[in-house]
Order: sequence, then C-alpha cells, then structure tokens
Amino acid sequence: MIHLNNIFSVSKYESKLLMRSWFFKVFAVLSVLLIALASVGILEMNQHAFNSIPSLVAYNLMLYFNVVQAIVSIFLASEYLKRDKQLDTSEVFYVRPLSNAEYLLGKMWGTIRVFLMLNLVVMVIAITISYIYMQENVSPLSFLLYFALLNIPTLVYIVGLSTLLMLIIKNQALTFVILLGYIGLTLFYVGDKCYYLFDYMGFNIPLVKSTITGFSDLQGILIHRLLYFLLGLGFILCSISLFRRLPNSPRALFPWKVASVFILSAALVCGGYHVGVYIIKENFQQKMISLNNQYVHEPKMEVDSCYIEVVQEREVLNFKTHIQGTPIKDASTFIFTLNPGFQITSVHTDGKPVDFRREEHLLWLDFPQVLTKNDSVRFTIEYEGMIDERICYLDIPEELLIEQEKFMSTFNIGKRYSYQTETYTLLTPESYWYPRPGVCYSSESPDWQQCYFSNFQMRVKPNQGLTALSQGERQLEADSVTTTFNPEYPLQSLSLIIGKYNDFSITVDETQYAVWYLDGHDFFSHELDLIQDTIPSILADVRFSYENQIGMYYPFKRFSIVEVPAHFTGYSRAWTQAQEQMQPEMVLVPEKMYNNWRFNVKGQKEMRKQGNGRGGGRGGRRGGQTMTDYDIQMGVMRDMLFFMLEKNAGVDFRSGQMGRNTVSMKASPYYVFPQMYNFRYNVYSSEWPVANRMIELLLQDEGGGNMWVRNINGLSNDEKSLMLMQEHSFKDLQNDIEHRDLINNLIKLQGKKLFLDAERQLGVLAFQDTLYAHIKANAFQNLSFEALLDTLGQIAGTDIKSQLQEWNHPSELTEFMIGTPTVSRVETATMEIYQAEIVISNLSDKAGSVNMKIQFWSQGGNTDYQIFDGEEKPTEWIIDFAPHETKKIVTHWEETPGTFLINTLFSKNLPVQVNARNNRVENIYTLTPEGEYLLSEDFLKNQEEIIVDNEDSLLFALSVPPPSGFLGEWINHNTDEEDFKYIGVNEWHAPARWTKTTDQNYYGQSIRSSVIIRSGKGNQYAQWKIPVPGPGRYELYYHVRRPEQLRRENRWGKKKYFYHFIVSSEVDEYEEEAELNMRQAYDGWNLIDTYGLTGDTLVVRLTDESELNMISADAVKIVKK
Amino acid sequence: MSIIIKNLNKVYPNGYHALKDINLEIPSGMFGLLGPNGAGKSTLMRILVALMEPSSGEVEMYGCNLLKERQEVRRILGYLPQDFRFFAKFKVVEYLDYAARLSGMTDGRKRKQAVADMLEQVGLYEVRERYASKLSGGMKRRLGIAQALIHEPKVIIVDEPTTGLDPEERIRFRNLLTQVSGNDITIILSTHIVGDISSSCTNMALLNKGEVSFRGSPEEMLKRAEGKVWRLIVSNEEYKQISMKYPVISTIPRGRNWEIQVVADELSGYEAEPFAPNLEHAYVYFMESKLDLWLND
Repeated sequence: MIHLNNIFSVSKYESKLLMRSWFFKVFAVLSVLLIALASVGILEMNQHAFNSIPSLVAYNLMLYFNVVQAIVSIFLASEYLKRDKQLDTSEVFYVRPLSNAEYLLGKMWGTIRVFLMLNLVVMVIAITISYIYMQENVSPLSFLLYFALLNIPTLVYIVGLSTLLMLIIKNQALTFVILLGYIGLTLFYVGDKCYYLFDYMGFNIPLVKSTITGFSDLQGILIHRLLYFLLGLGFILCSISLFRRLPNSPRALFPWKVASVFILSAALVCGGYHVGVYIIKENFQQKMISLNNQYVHEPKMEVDSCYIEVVQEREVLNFKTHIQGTPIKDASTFIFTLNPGFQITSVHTDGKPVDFRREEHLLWLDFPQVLTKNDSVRFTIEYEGMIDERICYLDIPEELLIEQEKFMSTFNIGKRYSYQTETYTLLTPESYWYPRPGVCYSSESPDWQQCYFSNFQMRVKPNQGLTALSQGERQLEADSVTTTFNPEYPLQSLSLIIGKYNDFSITVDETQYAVWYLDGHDFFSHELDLIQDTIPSILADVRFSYENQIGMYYPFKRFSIVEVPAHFTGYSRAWTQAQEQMQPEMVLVPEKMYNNWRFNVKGQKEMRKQGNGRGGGRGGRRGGQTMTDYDIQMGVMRDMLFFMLEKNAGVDFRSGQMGRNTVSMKASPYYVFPQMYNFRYNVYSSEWPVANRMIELLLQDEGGGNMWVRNINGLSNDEKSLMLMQEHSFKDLQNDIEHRDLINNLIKLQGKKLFLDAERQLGVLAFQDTLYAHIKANAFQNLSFEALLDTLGQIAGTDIKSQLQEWNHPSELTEFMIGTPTVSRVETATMEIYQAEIVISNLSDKAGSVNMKIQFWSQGGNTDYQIFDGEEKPTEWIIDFAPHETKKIVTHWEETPGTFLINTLFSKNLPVQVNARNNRVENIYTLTPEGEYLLSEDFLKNQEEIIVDNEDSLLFALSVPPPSGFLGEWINHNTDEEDFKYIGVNEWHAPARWTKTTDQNYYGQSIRSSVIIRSGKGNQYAQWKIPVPGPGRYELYYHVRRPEQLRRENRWGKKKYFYHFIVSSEVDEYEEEAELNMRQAYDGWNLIDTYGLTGDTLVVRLTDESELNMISADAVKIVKK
Repeated sequence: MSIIIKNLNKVYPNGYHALKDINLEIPSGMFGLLGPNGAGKSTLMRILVALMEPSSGEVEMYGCNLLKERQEVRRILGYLPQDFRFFAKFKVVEYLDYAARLSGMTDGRKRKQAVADMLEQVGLYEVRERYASKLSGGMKRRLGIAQALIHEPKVIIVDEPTTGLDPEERIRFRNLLTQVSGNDITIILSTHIVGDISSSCTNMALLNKGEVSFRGSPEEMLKRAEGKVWRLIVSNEEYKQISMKYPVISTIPRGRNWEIQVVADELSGYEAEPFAPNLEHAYVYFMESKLDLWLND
C-alpha cells in the first residue's frame, strides 16, 4: 500500500536539495533570463502572428523551454541516484518504514515538481511580457495547455528514462552522455520520421491551435503525448523494480512489475495507434487510387447543372443534389465520386428510385435504360454524414503530405483540407463533398482529370447564428439563415463555407469586393478608418494595373477574401496553378493572415510613421514631406492587396552539408492569376493533362527570373530542367516525384519549345495575341488542346501537333559557343550610329535557336523597342542556326548597346543565358550592313592557342581527398548523391571537397564551369595536361573569375592573394613553381609565365594553398609566341 | 526477549562466510556487540536493520519476523550507521524533520514539537538552522542518534558510534545512549572499542570470525577472565620471551626493567601475581586464548 505522506515527504526534501544545488540555480536563472529575452525577441519580430493566434506565444516559449529543460532534467534526474550511492546516510532513510516505490516516486516527484514550479515561474514571466506587447490578446490558458501537452509528458518521460538508464548503466556520466546523444539524435536527425513517433519533445508534431477550430488533430496529439507520459510512468515503475534496496516484503515488487508492464503496454498501444492511424490512412488512400485505376474508364456524364440543397443539423450535413447530366458515351451505368464519409440515402430520377452501388468513394448510378450521348437526364442524390479528409490529395506523394508546414522555422502548423464541425464547415472541391462525374486521381490514366463547366446553384440552411458562403450571388431568405447562391457563370467546381462570419464589402464598377472575417477577427477596419471612402478607388486601381500587366481580366461579379483556419492548406499541382486556397470568386486566407507581415496593419502604420516601413523603403516621408495618416493608411492598404499579386510566397532556404546551400521559391497559393485563367478556361487533353498548365504558364509574364537564386543553387530551375530533358522524356518527367519542384519549368520550357516555330513565323507578340484570342473565345467551356494546336499551326503555317510525339522521348539539345560582343561608333552627317556585333557558333549536330536581347545603358535596360531611323525596332529577336553553323550578327542602334542577353533556349549551355558586355566603344568609319553573316565553323577557335578546360575528362584531373573517418565518409557519401552535377557554392563557406559549379564568368565553350574547393595547405590539387604541338616558347595563361572576396578590395592593396601552381614537363625535365597574383588578376585569361617547351605535354597543377577563401580550378591555355 | 536471532548465516556471493550460525537472544536495555574489525558486526547490523537479507536463519523483533514483516520491523527501528554523513544542503532541523516524517510522524504540529525536543535532548537546538555538514564530528553523531530516536523506536541499532570522537564527545555520547536505554527500549551497540561496552551495556556478545565467542553480561565475561591476567616485572630479555608466547596488554618501564600485564591461563617460570581483569583484559583473553577449549566447557 502506498503512503502518499511518505512520497510527499521524500519529494519535499528532494525538491529542497535540488533547489539548493548550484547547477539548478544557474539553470533557473538562465531559463528565466532566456525566456524573458526570447519573449521580447519573438514578440518584437512577429507581433502580427502572435496577435492573430495568441497561443503561438505560449507554444513558442514552452517549446524552447522544453528542450532546455529536457537536457537539464536528465542530468538532475540521474544525479540523485548518484548522490544516494555516494552517501551512506541514505541508509538511515532506507531503514524507515517506506517502500521502494514511495522512496523512488518521492524522489522523482521531487525532481519533477521543482521543474514544474520553474515552468510556472517561466510562464508567469512570459505572460507578463506578453501582456506588455499584446494586451488583451494574451491567452494565459494556452500556456497551461502547452505546459500540459508539451512539458509534462516530456519531463515525466525524460526523468523516467534517465532514472531507468542510470539504474541499468550505474554510471551517471555515461547515462548523461547517452541521453544527450539521444536528445540530439531525435532533435536533429530523427525529427518527424515515422509519423512523429520519436518526437517525445513535441518539437515536430503540429501543435498550432487555431482560434477558430483548435488543433489540427487533437486526438492524434493527445495520443502522442499520452504515449510519452505513459512511457515515462512505465520507466519510473520499472525503476522501482530495479532499485537496489530491500523491499518491505518479498512480494512487494510484484505489483510494480505488473503495473510497469501494464503501463508500458498501454504506451505501446498508444504508439501503435498513432502509427496505425497513418498507415490505415495510407492504405485507404492506396485502395482509393487502386479503385480509381480500375474504374477510370467507366462511362461518365458531363454535368450541365447541379443544384445542391444543404441542411446543417449540429455537425452533420444533409445534402440533396439535383443533377442534370449528359452522357459522354452511351451507357446505363455511370460512375461518380463522392466523399466516402457521406452515406447516400436515396437516388431518384423522375420520382423513381435509381439503383446505386458504392465502393468507398465511388458511386455507380444504374439507370433503368441506356442513355445516349444526346440524352439529358435529371436525377437527385440524397446523402448525409461527416466528411472524410482521406480522399483529399491522392495525387500528392506521401512524403509531401506529411512534410511539415513550418512557420518561423519552428512551428509545424499542421495541415487540414476540410472542416465539418457544429460551428465551422469548410468544404472545397478537393474533398468531393458533392457528387462529381468520373473517378478522382488515377495513377494510371490521365482520363480522370476531365473537368467540365457546370451551372451550379445552392441553397444552404446552416445552424442558427452561422453564415454560409459560396460562389455566386448570395441571397438570404426570410429566416435570415437560409442562403441561396446563384453563380452567373458556369463553374468547374463549388465550395461551401459555414461559420460565424461577418463581412466588410464594397462594390466598385459592378464588382463586389468583400472581406469575410470570423467573429472578433476584425483587426483591420478601425486601423484603416480614414480611407474607407478611398478603398474602392484603391481596389479599382490595383485591379486595373494587374489586369493590364497580365493582359487578362477578372471575369466574376464579386471577389471575396474569406478567413479560414490556419491549418487549411493546399498543394501545387502539375496541371494547375490554382491551389485549394483559391476558389472561384474567393481566396481563402488563414486566420488574420497571421503569416503575412503586410497584414500587420498596426505595425506597418507605426513603421511608416517612423519612416522605416518595409517594402522598398516606403518610408514615412515622401519628397521631403511628412506623410499624413491618410497617406500611411493608403500605403498599408495597397501593400496588403499585393499579397494576391505575388507569384511566390517566399524563399525556402536550406543550408546543406559541406557548404552546399539550396534555395527555392515557394509558389503563393494566394496568387490571384487562377481567377483570370483557371476558373475561366480549360484546355483539355486526354493524353497530356499538363496542357492547361502549359497554356497558363505561357500566358503569364515570367519577368526576368531570379539570378540570385541561380547563383546560390549553381543552376537555375530552367537549366536543371534542360539537363533532365536530355535524360528523360517529358512524359516521364511529369510524374517524377523527385523533381516535382521543377515541374513548372519543365512544362513552360516544353511549351516554349512547342510554340517556338509558330512564334518565329508569327512573331512573339503576335503569336501570344493569337493564342490568347483563341483561349478567350472558349471562356467557361473546355477547349481541346489538340484542336488548339491544329488551329494555331494553321495560322502560323507550321505543324505544331506533330511535335507532341517528341514528348515521349528525351530531348536532343543544341550547344552554342558565344563570342565576345563588340560595339563600334560611326558618326554620319546627321547622327551617331552604334554597330553591335557578336559571333555565335552552333557546335551541335542539331539545328537550334538563340534568343538575343540587347539592353541599352541610356534607358535603364528593359525596353521592347528602340527607335531607329524614326521607326520602332525590336530589341529582342530569335536567331536560327543550322547544325555547326557560325554566324556574326550585326545590328545598328541609335543608343549605346549595353548588355547582350543571349539565351541559348533549348541547349546544353550552362548558364543557359549569358549577359555579355563590352564597355569599350571604338570609332570606325564604315558600317557593316545589318544582318547575319555566315562564318567558318571554327571561327571562334583560335588556332594559335590550346585550351584545356575542367570539363575535359581526359586532360583534367582532381586530387582525391583523404578518408575522413566514419562521419566524414558518411557526409561525403551523402553529398555524392547530389541530383545535379553542378551546384551552388558559398564563397564564405566553401565546400571541403572539389565541387563543380557554373557561372558565366568561368571559361567554357558551352558549359562555363569551374571546380571549387575550400583553401587548404596545398594537399589538394587540380591538374591540367596541355598537349604541346611542337618546340617553341609558350605563354601559359589561367582563366580567372575574380572571387567576390576580392571584388570589393583595391587591386593594389598590401595583402597578397596568390594561386600557387606547379608547372612541369617530363620531356624537358623540369618542375617549377609559379604564382598568380589574384589581387591584380582580371576576369578572363591572365598570364602566368612563359616557358620554352620541346613538345609532348605541359602539366599544370593548381594547389589548394591560398589566402583566399576558396580555389577555383577553371581552365588553362598555352599560346605560342 | 525483545530480539531473537536463530541460526543466522550470511554467505556473500564471493563465498565469504560472514556470519556462521548466529544464535542470540537480546533483552531490552543496552546490548553491546563487541568484536574486531571483520568479525561480522556490520553484516549482522545490516541484516538487523533490513538492509541486507541473510542467507539463512531467522530474526524476530518484538514478535515481528524480520524477513516477512520488514515494514513493521522498520517502524520500531532506529539506526545509526557507522559512516554517517549528510546531504550537504540539509539543515539540522530539516534533517530531523525529514527523518521524523519518514518514520510515520504525520502530524505536523506534533512532529515539530518532537523535533525541537529531540534537538534539546541531544544538545543541538542552538545549531538547528545550521547546515548539517557544518557540524563538528560529535554533533554529527548526536544528530545521528537524534534521527534514530526521533520516532521513539523500540530498537536502536548503533554501529561503531564513537569511532573518531574525542574522549569528551565519546563520554557525552555514551551518556546519551545510557539515558535513552532507560526507556524500556533495546539498544544494540556494535563496537570494537571495549570501553564503550564496559561503561554502558548490561548485556553483550562477542563476535569473532562470524561466530559468537561469548554471550552474557560484561560481569560474566570479566568473571571468566579472572585469574587469567598477570602482572610481573621483567628484564628486557624476559620481556622478549614472554611477548613471543603470550599477549602483553600493558607495558610500563620500571628503571631498567618493565612492568607488564599478560593474559594467560597460567604463567609458570616467572614471578607473576594474578591481577583483577577489566573488560579489555577479558576481551583480549577471549580473542587470544584457547577459546575452543573454553567453549567446550
């Protein structure tokens, strides 16, 4: 029998001992200080997020405290056993009438309760600081909640585990090291693997609590945390059994052994359940995909109209869907997809029941007679139930589905795709909440993807006090609850949202703009009180600008921004830019837009007032005048609207091993383009589901791309895509999960390639106009891709469609060598004419094209046309090359040409686009007529020089780094698995092994590359073997791309930066050291020295010894004097 | 009898036979357990306080079987181990309070009073707020006995309590034990210092090599040694010869000769006079003489 008095007595004094230890005192003081600083720091940085979801503060702070606490508690938990072992005095307590259990439980409770008290102190501090920053938005209860969910299970688990290990290992230092390693391993390596199973600290499980719908998966979270609480408890009970002290009776340990087995079993059940949920879900999804594959070709209907009646009863939804459909082919049985969580109660046609069959999500309607393609059939399906989210995103790979949605690099937000509760409902088409013809995702046939424009109508009776939202004109019935929705245009799909919504709406030019926010979530209107009357003009202005920019128009009569829970998420697809956050007429934004700084209205106003606003220096002063409050509010409002005009939501920067970093752009789900295109047009191909996406991408203005991204990654996404296209067919690449991030580039490149001939025939702009005109003529209806290609081909006088066959094979790419441009000036009697010349050579056996664009100094770069001789002259054009053709291109301009942007399009060239410059302008007296001049194939090759590049696998070699132990080998092994041959390097954290990278300033006929390594002591080297054609004196040159490290330094500064070479010739029997002063070197060829050679081979070895951060092994050449 | 030990054996896992068939009946009052280092005293103590299980045999304390009713036995037990140290961060009063709590004194008010009384009794009240680790050696011993007494146990087991104490503290400590033993309780005092037994115990046992060499009162032990202790004056040469044959207890220089005290059944060939033995003489007699013969009597 357990005496609580004994436990509390032991714990009381254990706590005293703990609190009086210096280790704990230091930890406590540091914790308090750190938490106070962290509180201030994070609240300063992300006020908007924390004001939007107040529990995030608690989550953030308790999470970090939890990690520190776990480390300290393992030390202190094992400490008391060591202390007991050392002090015989504990024997005077051992002989007291208390059991092992009481003694050990008391000890552990004493440790735990001290930490709990410290938690409370930390919480009070954090809450106090939060009050200072957030006032009424602070949620003290959330601190207790996260304390219970995060800290208690972790603490019990870690104390139990460390005590048990200490009893088994009997060595505190070893126990501490093992547990520290365990913490490090789980935190940095295991992380969220195996469905978060090993995440005892709760660092990865999604614990963000929405103010609308709570946690994303409360049951999952509770089971997970219970698992670790029980494990901790089980370990404590095991420790009681192992504790070296005589029990009070021989049978005294038995109950504890039984209890520990029972509790550990319960923990295992929790673990099994936790993993089981995911596995069952995966299996169910696989089953659904398998069914889809099986029935993808079953007869289906085109839905002409669909009228949905919805009645909400508590959390259950009752549906009555009236469908009018037309068979696509003659049949009596037609297949539909409906969410598997909904049960069908009846199907009727003309008052007569229709036989139906269901298998999971699939629904077969068996009509009494065969329906032909000309028939139109009306029927009603009644169903009810609770939505089953497992049907969503069957096409998305599992690793992406379980990938964390991180915010502030810390919080795993959690993912939800639909909601159905008594107070909140969110059903988007992805959840198949109403019957849709055909099957959903099939991995075997794209035939599932047929989408049709249908005339939807809906009548919704939500629970009292709730508001229903959907597409179309919204009308409230007399009961002030029931709402009907009548869209003016056919739609591909419909969504349904029910919640405690309020709105703020304005009508501008017959379009109603509305913000639907949930009760208590109006954080903006009072902050923008001065511009209420101006908002319509801002909206009209922003809309007008964007429509002009993309050349497309918003088609709907209303546009709503609808607030939804933070967990709601979507995925980008290969076939559409529209994610589920974007619905016809509406964009679904997370609560209070917590994750977007633009919506920190109060903060943005403050910053502007201080003249310190973000976004391109939009300060509080303009033209020397202080901005008024009105101006400030206008600026903030405009900024807010721009969140829908940004194509990318942010940058995903990943720091890799060995100095290798990658960066990628995240597509913004709120980018409004799909409203203009995807919900209005549909280019359909049964064979090529990416057709619609291709047209969509081609119609968008891509802008100049992100060169900085290329610089970090080493390759642009287009270049990566081109490399892949050489190895794989486009058909295969569409389903390549590994390179999913490149799918847009692949599609866009294939699209450009497909239409290149047509563009050449019609002109780039004329072709785009033609394409858009055809798309526009097919608004709100499907347009066959193949028919579109036929039409465009006829107009352009070229066969576009036949090129589709090439998509089944890897692409053969061209290869160009680009010379240095020259600019000359001729003065005539009336004007100055600038003559630009450049030589480009096609090195490949395949005909190809180059896109040339000239930028001019005087006009800041980008203009599509230049005036020459009174006429507009395009600054960008395409130049065609036959195989092995070399051309000199001569053009005349009235302004000085600045940069030649030469894009080799579908080539092996790296970089695929070169920005060539020549700042010297020479005066000449005679102009060469404009045009393309054929030159000899090897015009660009200087016969007098012999160049050996790092791309030459025969004449260039690298040293092999010495083995670096298990860890080194493991890291090296991992880095060897890079996707692409060339990667980005960071000069300030250069790679430890030779790493290939590209840049236009490196040497290369078509691939301008170099091999980089971190500077060392001369142990590593790169070696070029230059064939010497015959006896003579030769100048040896090295190709330099000046390092960034030196770009800011004076060429004649004191500090020396050298490259060290060893030059040798076996025939001439010598070996010399040579240096190249990198401080004084220029981009391009730099002379090393002159050598007298009799022939054979000159070996040039560049060592890694240098004062520079890194060594670049590029190319060497010899030139006979 | 308050404690009955029957056929108690303890064999350690390494085969060392620490206790060999011990049989003892211990009445209330001060009971001395005397024996040299390694005789098995601490093993017996640890078994008696239920910190160690015997290999065989039984122990009964005030009617409770030690092996079967440990919880009950521990309730009536107070223990002061040989090496008594402290958690560095406990104050005197906290230490005693902790001990009292674990001994089942749940009433806070009464416990507080009992702690204060006990501190008064052992003379530590003035230093009650001092960290226990800061006490002198004697004070620590007193605190040790205080924690053993705080719950008014029926049996108090004290293992080598006076080792390392200065004479004044040793006397003070003996007096404390004697004072306590008047309360109809059993105090088992395990020691290798004969003086501790002679001055305080009414009953005793002598343990040697895991076996009981003697059981009875100190007086009986003295009686057994009567006529076995001799005093004589010898030259240097004679002293060397005698010390080779017999245990010499005392050596005092007398001019060029030595006055020595010798334990022996008989001392023929020398001019020796019998000498009234004290307990130390008796202890030496029992340890060094032909005990087997005597035991067989």
